[in-house]
Amino acid sequence: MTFSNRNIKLSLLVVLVFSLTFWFALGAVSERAEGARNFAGESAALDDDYVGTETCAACHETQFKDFEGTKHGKLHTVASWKGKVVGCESCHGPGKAHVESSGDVTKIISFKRLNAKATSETCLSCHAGKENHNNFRRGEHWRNNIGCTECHSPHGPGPGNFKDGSITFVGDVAAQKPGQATKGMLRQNEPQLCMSCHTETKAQFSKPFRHKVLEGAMNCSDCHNPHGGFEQKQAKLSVGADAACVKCHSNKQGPFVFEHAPLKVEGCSACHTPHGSANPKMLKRSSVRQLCLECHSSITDQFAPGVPSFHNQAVLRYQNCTICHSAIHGSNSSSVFFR
Amino acid sequence: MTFHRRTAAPHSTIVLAIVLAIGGSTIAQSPTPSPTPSPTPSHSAGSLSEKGITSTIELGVRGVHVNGNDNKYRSDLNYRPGFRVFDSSFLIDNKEGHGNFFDSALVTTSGWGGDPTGIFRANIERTGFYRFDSNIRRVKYFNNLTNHALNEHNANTDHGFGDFDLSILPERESIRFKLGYSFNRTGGNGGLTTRAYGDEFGILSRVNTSSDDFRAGVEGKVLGFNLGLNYGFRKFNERTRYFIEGLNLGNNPTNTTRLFTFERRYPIEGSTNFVQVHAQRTFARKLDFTARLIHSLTSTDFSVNESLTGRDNSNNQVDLDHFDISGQAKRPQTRGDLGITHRVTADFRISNTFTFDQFNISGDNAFFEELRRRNAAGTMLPTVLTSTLAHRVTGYRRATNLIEADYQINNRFGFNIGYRFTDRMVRIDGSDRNLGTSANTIISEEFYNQTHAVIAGFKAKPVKNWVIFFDAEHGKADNVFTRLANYDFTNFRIRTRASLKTVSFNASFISRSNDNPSRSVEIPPVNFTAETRSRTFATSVDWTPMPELSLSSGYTYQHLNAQTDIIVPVAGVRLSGISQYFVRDSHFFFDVRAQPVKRISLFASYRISDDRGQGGRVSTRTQDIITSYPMRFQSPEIRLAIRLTRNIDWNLGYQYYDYKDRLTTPQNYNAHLPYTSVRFYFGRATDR
Repeated sequence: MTFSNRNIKLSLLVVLVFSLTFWFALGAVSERAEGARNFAGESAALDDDYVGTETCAACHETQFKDFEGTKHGKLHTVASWKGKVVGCESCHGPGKAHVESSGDVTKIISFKRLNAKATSETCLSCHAGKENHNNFRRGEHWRNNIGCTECHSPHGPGPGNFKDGSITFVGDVAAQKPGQATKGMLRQNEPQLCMSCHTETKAQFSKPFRHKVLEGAMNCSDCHNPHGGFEQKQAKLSVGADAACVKCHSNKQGPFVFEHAPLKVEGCSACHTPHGSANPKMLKRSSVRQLCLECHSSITDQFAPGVPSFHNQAVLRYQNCTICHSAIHGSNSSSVFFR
Repeated sequence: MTFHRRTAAPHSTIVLAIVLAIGGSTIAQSPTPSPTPSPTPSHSAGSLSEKGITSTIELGVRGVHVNGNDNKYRSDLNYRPGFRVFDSSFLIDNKEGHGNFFDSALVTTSGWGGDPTGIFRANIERTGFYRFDSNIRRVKYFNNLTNHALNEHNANTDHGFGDFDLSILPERESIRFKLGYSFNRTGGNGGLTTRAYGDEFGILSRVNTSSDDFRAGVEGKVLGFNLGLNYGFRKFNERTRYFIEGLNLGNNPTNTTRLFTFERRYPIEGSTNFVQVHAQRTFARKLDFTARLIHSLTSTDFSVNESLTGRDNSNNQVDLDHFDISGQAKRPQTRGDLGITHRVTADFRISNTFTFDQFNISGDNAFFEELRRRNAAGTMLPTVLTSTLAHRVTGYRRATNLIEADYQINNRFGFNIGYRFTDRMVRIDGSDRNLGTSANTIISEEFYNQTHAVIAGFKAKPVKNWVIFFDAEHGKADNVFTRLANYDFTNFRIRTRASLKTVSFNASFISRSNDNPSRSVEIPPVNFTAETRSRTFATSVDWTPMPELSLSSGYTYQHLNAQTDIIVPVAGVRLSGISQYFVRDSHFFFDVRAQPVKRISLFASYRISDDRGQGGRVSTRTQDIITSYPMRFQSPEIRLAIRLTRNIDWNLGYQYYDYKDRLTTPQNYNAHLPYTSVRFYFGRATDR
């Protein structure tokens, strides 16, 4: 029996359709089986212990007004969340004891009293399954005890007001563009939010050559996953398992017949400073030959061969390596990257 | 001062039309009643504000006057004069329930018109049904610098790129669908160099590269497992044409080489297919595991068709030098990751993260060159035919394991420690076969290493509004090639944040030390050292003493010393030298926003980056390379907004850029960027 490409594709399609159908059916079953769930409490609470969001709103009106406009506040309208605990008590736990004790703060989960990880565990009880969040417990922010609520406002961000700012560098964007931060319920818009801790990056993105983050064309999360990941520096992957850089710089993606090995093996940041630099092309050194010679000094034979002796560094032409080796990111036609 | 005016670019018109179109469709929606009672008072239908609309648009004209090096100005900033849609935002947030088509829609734009960066973002969603995010960006990239590649690698291109992502049933736990599309388009004029007959020639290019990504995925929960399956496809191609427009004498003034004609077509077609699956589950609130597997296959097909005529370095007339090169390359890659966290107690966790990555890049090309020449006397020389086959394989395999533990002693103090182990192999194999002489060169090299590193950190909260973070990492990184990168490294950083009622303070210190000892393959071998010491101190203060006044200021200082032993060829002799690179960069900013009277608000800002570089250090030997980029880049800015009506502000602004470097050939400039604009406010925005 022989298998043609057409048969293989058809079989794969059938398997895919069956898998999805099975998944959908099982998912619906498991969702129904799960029923009402307790999100925050360590021990399962009885349904009678829940008082409902309207009861909370009677005292916590301000928080409720902010909350009801958020995605969290709208979950009760979503069919797949019917029968589950939504609203305030989904995070703060059952409120009956709190209400009956006339607002005793020890009878309800108050996140002001919890540390960052304990708070985050509450969020992760729902959000851990999503692809972007599923490694949060092993990410840099978790490691450094930065919890979800450091960046997100579960009650929803307050309304922006229109403060004037720079027209070239995007300043207090959250104020200028209310609503932008509501995507992801962030406390502030993204570059400002990240830079409120990572202050040094503001200087990096102000260099003459930079990725246009302060201008608003890029966000930190274009390259980094703030929720952690398997990559170092919480870098993102793109197009499968490639570096985040090639998402936009697709002509550097390769594969090339003659790879400049560091590009794929060490990554673009081996030679470039991705946040910004005074050096042209955001290179790590201001002189290209310096960058090249620091590796190409006969450290290994093939990996980083030494520069041939006719490359007289007393002559200007030879000081500009990429004049000849112009296809330095990789070449299909020249083993020494001439074209 | 001269002001240049241009008509509005078509982009801004399109964006404006989209904003208005979405606005129109939104207003046409009738809000559906909320399914649950809401304590907020219900609104009567009619006005924009009652539909939760917040919108602004700022239109204006910018003037630009540049003194000094315009090419450097454009390489750094590239703001051009003329009409702009400086900024716009349109938000409808239907807080009381669902609209027919969406609950909330946010459209923002920035910089459309002649600005170097234009951004269009749209986020539209209906809770429970879908979420749509799009992001279109355009960067006008300009590069023309005398201190890079002899000013021959230039660019004046437009890079447009965008992402469109649709999530269907995003809040549904059992199953969710994702569809996405991204694009990249780069086009315009560029400059490059080509090498021929011992000389280099600046050539022109018409840049044309593009990529299109399609992705589809499904996520959901099955029997307690959160599962996801994604498939993606990228198609990319390069159609850049390289050419010269007339006689080109090349960079070498001492030889006879020149090009009369040059034309290179180098089309590259490529594609990536990838499948990614991931799974996550938390067992009994104690054991969390996440797994991911990615398999991708990227392949390219290419052909080079290059013809040139000219004169070679033996003063022969080149009637035709023609290259035909074709081939293909592919890279299958498999990556697997597994992360497990065991929550031993409520305050103590142990985690283990394992990553495996493997790829094999294999490529082949068939090279053919036909060279037809005449000598100086006009006599035909024998045609030279060169035909070779090349094959290369770059193999890579890396496994990393990180085990770590974190313990929360109390709400004021928690710490973590960890250990990372990496095992890596890089291999390059290949052959170069000359079909004319049958000579065959075999290439084979393998590099294998194992590295270890430890990490540690803590977070302390001495008082309610003061927090201190510390983390450190010490060990070996696993790079093979780049002595610029980490090898024996010790990195640590400490951050602190404190806030009082109206003041917040932030400071950090980051230290990175890297030693990269190696040994050359010269006979006799030479011990090489690479040392990099980077220290960065950053601090910022924000103070809002009253609603009408806010101030923000910050200072960052980076101190970097890098010293590397190098081998430098000088006049045919390979000499042992030193490479040194220095950064002494101070960055300061100060922003103030004030509203002295109700109708007038003011924004003023000052930013400066000042890098003193290497100071007085100069190299006294040819084989020593001591460099830095000493420069000062400063920009004061002021903006005055006058409230004309409830809906309209009139803005007057001025920004000044001053750039000075201390290179051999300075590229100094200063630029005046005055502007005036009108900002319209609609809906709830009028309550500003």
